[in-house]
Amino acid sequence: MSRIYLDWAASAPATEAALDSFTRIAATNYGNPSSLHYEGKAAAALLSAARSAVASSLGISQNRVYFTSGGTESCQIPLLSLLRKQHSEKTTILVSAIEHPAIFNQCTVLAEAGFTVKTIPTTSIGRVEAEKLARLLDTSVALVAIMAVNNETGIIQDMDTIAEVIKNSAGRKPFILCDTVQTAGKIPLNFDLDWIDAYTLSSHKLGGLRGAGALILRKPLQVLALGGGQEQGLRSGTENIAAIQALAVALAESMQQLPQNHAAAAALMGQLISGLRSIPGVCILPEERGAKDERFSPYIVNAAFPGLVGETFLRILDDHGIAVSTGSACSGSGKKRRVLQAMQVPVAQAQSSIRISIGSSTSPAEIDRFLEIAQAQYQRYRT
Amino acid sequence: MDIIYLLKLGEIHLKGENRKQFIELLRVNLRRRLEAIPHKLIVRDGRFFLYAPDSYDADVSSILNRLPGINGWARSKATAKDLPAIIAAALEVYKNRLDQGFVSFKVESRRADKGFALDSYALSRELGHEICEKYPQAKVDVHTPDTVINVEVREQVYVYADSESGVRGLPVGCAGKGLLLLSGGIDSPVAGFHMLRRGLALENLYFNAYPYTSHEAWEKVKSLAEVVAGYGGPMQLHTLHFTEIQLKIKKDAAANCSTLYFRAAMMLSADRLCKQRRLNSIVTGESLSQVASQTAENMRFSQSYTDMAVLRPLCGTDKEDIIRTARKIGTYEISILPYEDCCVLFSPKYPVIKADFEQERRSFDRLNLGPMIEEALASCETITVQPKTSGCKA
Repeated sequence: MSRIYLDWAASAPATEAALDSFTRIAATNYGNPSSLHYEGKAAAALLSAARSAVASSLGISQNRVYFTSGGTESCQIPLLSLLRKQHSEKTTILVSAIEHPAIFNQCTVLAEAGFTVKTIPTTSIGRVEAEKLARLLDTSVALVAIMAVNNETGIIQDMDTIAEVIKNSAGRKPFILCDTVQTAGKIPLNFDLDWIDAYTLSSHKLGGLRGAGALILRKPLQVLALGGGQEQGLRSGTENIAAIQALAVALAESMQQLPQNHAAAAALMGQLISGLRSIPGVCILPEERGAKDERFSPYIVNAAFPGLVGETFLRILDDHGIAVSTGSACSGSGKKRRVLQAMQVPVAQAQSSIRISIGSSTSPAEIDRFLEIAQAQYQRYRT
Repeated sequence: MDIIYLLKLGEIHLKGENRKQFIELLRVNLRRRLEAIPHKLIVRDGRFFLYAPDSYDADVSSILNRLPGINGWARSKATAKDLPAIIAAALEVYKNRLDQGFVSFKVESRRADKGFALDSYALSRELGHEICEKYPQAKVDVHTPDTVINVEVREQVYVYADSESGVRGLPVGCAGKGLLLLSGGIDSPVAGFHMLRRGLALENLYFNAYPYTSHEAWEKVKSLAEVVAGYGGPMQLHTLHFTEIQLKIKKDAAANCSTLYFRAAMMLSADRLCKQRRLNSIVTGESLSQVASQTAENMRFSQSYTDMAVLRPLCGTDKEDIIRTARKIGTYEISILPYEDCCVLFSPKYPVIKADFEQERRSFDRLNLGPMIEEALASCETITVQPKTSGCKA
């Protein structure tokens, strides 16, 4: 029996068009876009076309698009740029408690360098507490990181409320970094909000290939890592043209198909959540989440199977041909469930949780099959 | 060019009439470990002389450092019984030590060949004089020298500086072969190391609780077995699939007894395997009072499911000592890898600490685990693990 892939939030299968574009360009376009000869110029033209396509998909001007190696690097660049401004009076960084390790762990380096890193608490459903954010926003804040859609629970931040809090804060507005890796091409979002300074994208989360991403900036930054000066000096290193083109293709596809894919995902997620709730003992995290709850991404759900450690259940499901994950695939095999614990989920429940994430080719039959296997195996192995 | 290694025996010398058998076993063990290395091994008068190309020095050193039965070893120069040649060798050996920062020295000479012109004292004095003449910075210190230059006059003359330490003990196999219950933790590999040093060859038994434990946890146990095999040579690793037995215990036994019963079931399985494999004992990493299952009462209970000798070399040691040994033998860094241990899963919050022997025997027997254990043994998987000696030094 073929495998059922329910780990799209970790990495999505490449679309046919993205893969075609990648293989074609990788095979034929070997020039370095910084080179002055014909091959180099051909590569530079492709890079420019990709930038234009990404900008067009997001509805922004192309001079705001900087290509990177992926979501993590896109987050690191603005964070580490703070190290170039160490004499500034702005020495506080605010990060939501549910940020991805790409931001949360990078902040430990900034803390070591003398920055004060403060965590913005979230409600039990994982939304940033606006009042607490307002209280933390003083004139010392250099940067605020808030992810639009959480990769573990699927919670969508209330961007209007956050915008209001930030706009009403005293003093010069801090730099706002918005992790949109699980948002782009999946959830409707305006990529031209005047209060957000940086958005991040990862190609392989939306049907492109690994090794490419984008950082969308309102204004250029003074970056920490220097080199050959590619990407207007923002991200040095020879550009991965084939992967960048695949990103442009995959993003265009996903943005075009966003309404219908979103609707299909919402229906599947409803089926999945209802099915999970019908398994005795299983609870959705957060428990407040409804089957068709618009506060959450219809692509991601977190569920606890009390009495069975998440990693154990992952192995069992894997042996039955189903791929899911525990927490963020990027956080490795660490046992802490920082995001769930920030939402005050009890430790035992957090440890027993798995993340199920779906995508454009997930079928209702696959969801049914997953539910059937999950129920049977949970009953067999729960302790 | 060949290096000559002189091996020094320890406890074997305390043996009486049967000393020859121990020496022969040590010879066989060493030859097996050196199988892949071109070498010549001469055993004469209870002394081992090993000749091997210098390009294999790292491998040979690694093997000698881990060979139970030798107290130490040294790289030696060999010369004819000719004073100028002996002086030249002594100067070279001292120069090497001087280059390493050792300045003060003494010369210790021994004559197996009493026909040699100079007696031991005169030979030492002569060599000391020559060293001081050649190297003005050299200083004789007979009480606490930085280095000792050893000279042994035998069929030829061997000159060497300080010995490297061995793991001591007795040759592996002189005490037969036992079964080590190997988990992924810190203690059991150390227990295995101690028993190898006492001459007990080992096979290993791992209780696999997949999917509660991961493939990585098994890989970790295999890595531990490879390091332990560095001291004992290639050894069997048996993997017994124990999940169904653990689930049954969890389901049918009182929660506070589950760990106690797992231990008993493990002992019962080990007993069966020992008999199948004709092994003479069961080795565990238990240390008295370390955890709830390791009380005298609980050990008595679990031990009652075997009539094999149960050897617990760590029983009277504390955790610090065990960790120190684990670091020294190279198992610690593997043991602390974050993969689940088969023993800690299903652990009850309040386990039975002092088992009521008769009562627990009755309750455990009612579980009727015999058929499940037989089934697990029938599908037991066995691999041979090869010694891994790099990256750690005993």
